[in-house]
Amino acid sequence: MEYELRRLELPAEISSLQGFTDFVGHGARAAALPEKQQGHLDLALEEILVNVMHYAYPEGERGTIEVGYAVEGPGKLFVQVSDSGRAFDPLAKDPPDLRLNIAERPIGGLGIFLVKQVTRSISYSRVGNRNILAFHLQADS
Amino acid sequence: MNIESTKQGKAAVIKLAGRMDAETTGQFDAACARSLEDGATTLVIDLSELHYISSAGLGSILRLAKRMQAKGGAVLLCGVKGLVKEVFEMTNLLPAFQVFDTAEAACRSL
Repeated sequence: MEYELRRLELPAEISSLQGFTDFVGHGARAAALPEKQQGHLDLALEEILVNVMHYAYPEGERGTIEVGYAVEGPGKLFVQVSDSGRAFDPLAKDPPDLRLNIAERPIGGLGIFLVKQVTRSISYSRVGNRNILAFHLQADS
Repeated sequence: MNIESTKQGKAAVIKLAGRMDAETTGQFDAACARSLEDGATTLVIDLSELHYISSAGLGSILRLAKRMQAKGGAVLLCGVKGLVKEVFEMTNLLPAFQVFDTAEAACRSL
């Protein structure tokens, strides 16, 4: 079954974060996602967007990011984030070592790990010149 | 994000409310820097009214904890709950901190 994908394209810069968060928030409410998964959605979206903002485009290039969502039923939301930056699969990164103490812990490297924890069926694909990261949020059954 | 800083002897209580994300984390860094300039040797971070934290916020708190630990100070956490608690737990950072129910309990422990 095909679901309607609503899309929003904004500049790949930190000031776009709120706009994207508000946009998918409409989807979360339309899908009646529980509060817990709405928090997970905000978290996953921010981590993915910040990653794209940091790594997708060369310094000085004004790229954009497109976020799309589709309500797939009560308590089920599909989200995809795409950009036309350099090919980059954030999911391929090694997981962080969570056993290290404060002094040994590196700063950073937790974002995509968190995304993997809070989303379902996350996948990366390169289609034409676009990176596409797609995932689901679903109410606990 | 709203930030309230209060001085309690050699400690500063920094109470965060709202969302600590990649856009607002700089405000936290600035508030902590001001408290350290004021001579605080312990920072109590009150998270009881913080509803959201991302890896940017975690990184900022971790950076602060490293800095305080290196100079013999400490960062204490209190009021950790909801999504914020879940994020600290998923990243196994909670055991790295002394955690209290309230800011008063954290200050009493000093």
